[in-house]
Amino acid sequence: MESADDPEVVRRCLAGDERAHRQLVERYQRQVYSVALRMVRQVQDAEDLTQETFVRMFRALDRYDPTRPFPAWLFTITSRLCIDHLRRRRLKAISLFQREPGSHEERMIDPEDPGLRPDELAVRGEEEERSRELIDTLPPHYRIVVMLRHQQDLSYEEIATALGLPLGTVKARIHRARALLRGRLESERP
Amino acid sequence: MNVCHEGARLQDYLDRELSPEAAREMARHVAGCARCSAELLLYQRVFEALDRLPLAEPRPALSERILARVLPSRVRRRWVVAAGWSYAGVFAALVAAAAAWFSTPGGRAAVALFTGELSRRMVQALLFAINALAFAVASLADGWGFMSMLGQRLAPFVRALSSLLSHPTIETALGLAAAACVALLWWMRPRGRGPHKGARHVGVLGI
Ligand SMILES: [Zn+2]
Repeated sequence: MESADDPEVVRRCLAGDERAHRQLVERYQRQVYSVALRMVRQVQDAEDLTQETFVRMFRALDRYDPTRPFPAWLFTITSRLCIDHLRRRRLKAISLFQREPGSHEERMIDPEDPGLRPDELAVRGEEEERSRELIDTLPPHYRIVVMLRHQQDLSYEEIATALGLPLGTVKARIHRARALLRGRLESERP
Repeated sequence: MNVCHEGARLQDYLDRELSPEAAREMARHVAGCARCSAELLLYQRVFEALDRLPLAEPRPALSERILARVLPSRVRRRWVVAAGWSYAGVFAALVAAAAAWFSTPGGRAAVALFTGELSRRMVQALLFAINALAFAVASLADGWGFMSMLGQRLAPFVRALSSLLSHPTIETALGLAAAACVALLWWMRPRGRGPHKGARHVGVLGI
């Protein structure tokens, strides 16, 4: 029962089985929450986005194609919600602050709220903390592709489908993101 | 600064996107190229750092929060609760509006007039319905020839009774009894109480 594969659990969800609903939520909420948290960096917002992901996922469940990997389909919803959320936040921030003339677009796109991050008070290890800091230096449109590739183990094709981007764009963004991080590591330890 | 063109494919190499032959070729090249072996080390560190990124642990309340919005039974319950609250809200608003209107003198007078008129019309309608029903029953019975048959059967009794009632003594006694009945009813009539004298129409809402 516990090891039922995703299409089987989805089929039972569509038949109205509430245990299958629970199973699907418990199986994927950490992944969805992790991506959302790294994207918006606020616990409350990340929880709201996780909840909204599942609400929309269950509403659209009859349109899920069981031949496709379920997480890839699920992250289509999550990444769209996260990107919309950041866009709204950016518009709010831009209306509050004067836009710097000639400022770089990558910097403009990411005005995250600073402040205490309760999830990050529980440091699991220095290296993990280091990874988190490193990925946080990336602008959001690089961060999402890197998260889906390295944390969620999605293929380039799955990421392209999830984000609605051409495969070449996804590949270029991931390469560019890693090149940025490689530059950071190099400047740290010359 | 020495630039090596092979360096552009280092990420593909680490991604295992290269064909087996291309990967072997790259490994041979890196072994002999100082620039590329330094790059490979840096990219290996990037890949390791990214792969190490842990999953975040959501607060325990999150799953219940999600389930409250997605479980079919809870979704149904939410709809029922929402419908109940909207009904209660609309009802409360209507009652409040009616109360506000009724608190004005004009509203009070209109309500009194309306309810008075309403109860009068209701009594009229009821009387009309009873008459109509009685008429319908009588016509139906007549149609069956029941009434004429009953009349023929009862005729001797009616004749006997009328000759009896036309007797002067009985006639006087019946007249006195009728007068006593009228007097009793007059004595039992409803009398005006409080500031209102005489019969006053009572509305449906007691207003
Ligand atoms: Zn080289």
